[in-house]
Amino acid sequence: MKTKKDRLFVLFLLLISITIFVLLINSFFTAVLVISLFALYFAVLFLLIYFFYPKTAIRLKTPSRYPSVAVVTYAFNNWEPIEKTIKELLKLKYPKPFKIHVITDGSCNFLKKYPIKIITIPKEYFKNRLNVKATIMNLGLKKINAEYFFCIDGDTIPEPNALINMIPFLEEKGVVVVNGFLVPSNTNNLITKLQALEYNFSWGLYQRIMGAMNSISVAVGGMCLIQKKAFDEVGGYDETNVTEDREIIYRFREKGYKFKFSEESRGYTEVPETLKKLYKQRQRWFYGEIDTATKHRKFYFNRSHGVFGIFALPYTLFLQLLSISVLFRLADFIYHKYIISNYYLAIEMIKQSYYIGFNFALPIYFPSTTFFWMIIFIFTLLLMFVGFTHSKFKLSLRYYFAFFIFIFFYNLYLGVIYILALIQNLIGDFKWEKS
Amino acid sequence: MGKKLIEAFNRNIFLAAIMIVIIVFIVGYFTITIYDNTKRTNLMDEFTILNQQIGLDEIYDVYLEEKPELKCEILNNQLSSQLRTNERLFNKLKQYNENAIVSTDNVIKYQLVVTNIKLWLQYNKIIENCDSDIKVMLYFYPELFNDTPNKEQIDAKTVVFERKLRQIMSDCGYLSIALPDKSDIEIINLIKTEYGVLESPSALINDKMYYDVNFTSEFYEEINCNE
Repeated sequence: MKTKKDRLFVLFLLLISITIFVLLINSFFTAVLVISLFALYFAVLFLLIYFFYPKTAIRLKTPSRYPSVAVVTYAFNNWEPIEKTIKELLKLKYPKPFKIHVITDGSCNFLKKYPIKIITIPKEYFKNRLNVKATIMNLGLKKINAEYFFCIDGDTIPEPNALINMIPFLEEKGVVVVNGFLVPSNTNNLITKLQALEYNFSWGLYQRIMGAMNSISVAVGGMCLIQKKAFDEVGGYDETNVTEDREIIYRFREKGYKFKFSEESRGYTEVPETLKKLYKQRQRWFYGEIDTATKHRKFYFNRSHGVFGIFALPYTLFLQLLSISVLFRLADFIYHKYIISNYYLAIEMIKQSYYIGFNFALPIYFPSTTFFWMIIFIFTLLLMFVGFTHSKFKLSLRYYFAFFIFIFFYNLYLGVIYILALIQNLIGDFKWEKS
Repeated sequence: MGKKLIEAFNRNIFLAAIMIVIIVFIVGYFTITIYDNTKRTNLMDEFTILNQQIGLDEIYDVYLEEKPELKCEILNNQLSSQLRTNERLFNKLKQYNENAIVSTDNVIKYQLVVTNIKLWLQYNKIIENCDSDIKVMLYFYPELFNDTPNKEQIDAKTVVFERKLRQIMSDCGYLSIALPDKSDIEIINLIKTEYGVLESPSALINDKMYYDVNFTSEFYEEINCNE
């Protein structure tokens, strides 16, 4: 349950968005110029980090030793993908013997044919829990004895060298989490193609940059390697948070631990195929993200957490709030320019019994300051192509339409979900709906 | 060495990005300023020429005094010249708006209104003196600003009204001259008082004020129009 202070913090976030929105209405060009400069700054910064950050992050060194690792996945009802995942997990390369653990409720007899260890958690242990995954992982991991556990979702397929490529990162003192590189395995329709673009951009560029700045903010639930001792030390996953993999990072940080991103550890995950499913997934992610930000708000602008506290966290939050403000502004523009105007036009046409048609013409207005928009647009495209190149993603002809939608509409859709998640954080609590 | 370089880089990369943004901003700012100035100068040059042509209009009046026998010919020539100027002014105003390179377009707007008044007076002169069958209507439009109350409602009413006037223009061969409802140009207030203009949008057609237009046979008769 959220405290009054938590809700006040969410209200504060909403107020920031509204303030930017008011600025965008009253001093449009000044606000646009300021936002453009901010956007330009981040784009330049990202490119600088990308091009000049030493390649040690991706060049694999041979580790001095290979620790004991337990591979852990879980399955509840999603039997088809888990079987596929297990088959691929059996192909994992690792110089030391390791066990594959599947946490289930015990209702999947067919898993017994595989050389794996099944950890059964009876349903009554996690019934009515907010975060079932966090609960069963906490319970299941208690039965595992290994230095590290390679955590993988039941619908994610790792490449054979995904695990072994993570190990060199553990050489650095204090590293307790190494994230893998996730891309969608299903790209059969527009929704999945949009996510393919998003994942490849995000993992190809954003995660790399965050990794370079020691500002990773999530222990990717889909595929990551976590130190068991550190995991136990912080008390495991937070079962009251719907994005447990994001929340745990903050508690790791409080202990001074570090996190890495292994770009050579690829995994292929199933992504939502419909808008409704995508909405439910993102609503949960955003709700959890805001919930985590609220819970750990002391991290923001906190110098003791370095670049993460001073830059990465405020930047991510600012970007989200800015997208809300821009959405509000766009909605306001559409409301006045097209909805209200055409509403009164309809009334007037009826009143005067004279039909002239509705007005949906686009405003043609190109001040010279468009130049700045163009620069930002070019920088954004450049960033995207850098991300795609790095993630080895080919923007082929079948992605062109999706790319257009991705650039102009996808983030607006996500922005709407973020607003709803923010409001949900303000007035209520998360209710789990099965997607 | 490598480690030190990474540390130094991590420390300064934020400043480096700021530096690049400042450079891009300065370059962009000057590019825009130079580009805008060039466009502004070109437009202002054309505007000055246009103003000189407006000044030439007075020559017609002098010529008319000297050659009263050529009255109708001179008046018609003067009208053609005014129409051309008016059209060019209107295009210029559109250009100003689309390019958004001047802080205010009030000067040219004012000029356009004055030219419209001149046109109206000119048409009246021709109709009175030259037995002309030109049909001209005077259209009063409301000027809307961001803070105008019920802006969208008035705008919708104006759009429909304007479209009706266009139909009259095409059906009955009328010409239309537009004047703002509210203006600090005193002659507009005089014209409004003369014809008893109560509100806008409205139109003076065939010496009668219309605040609404219904395309009935009586209306067409009133405006002297055989569809």
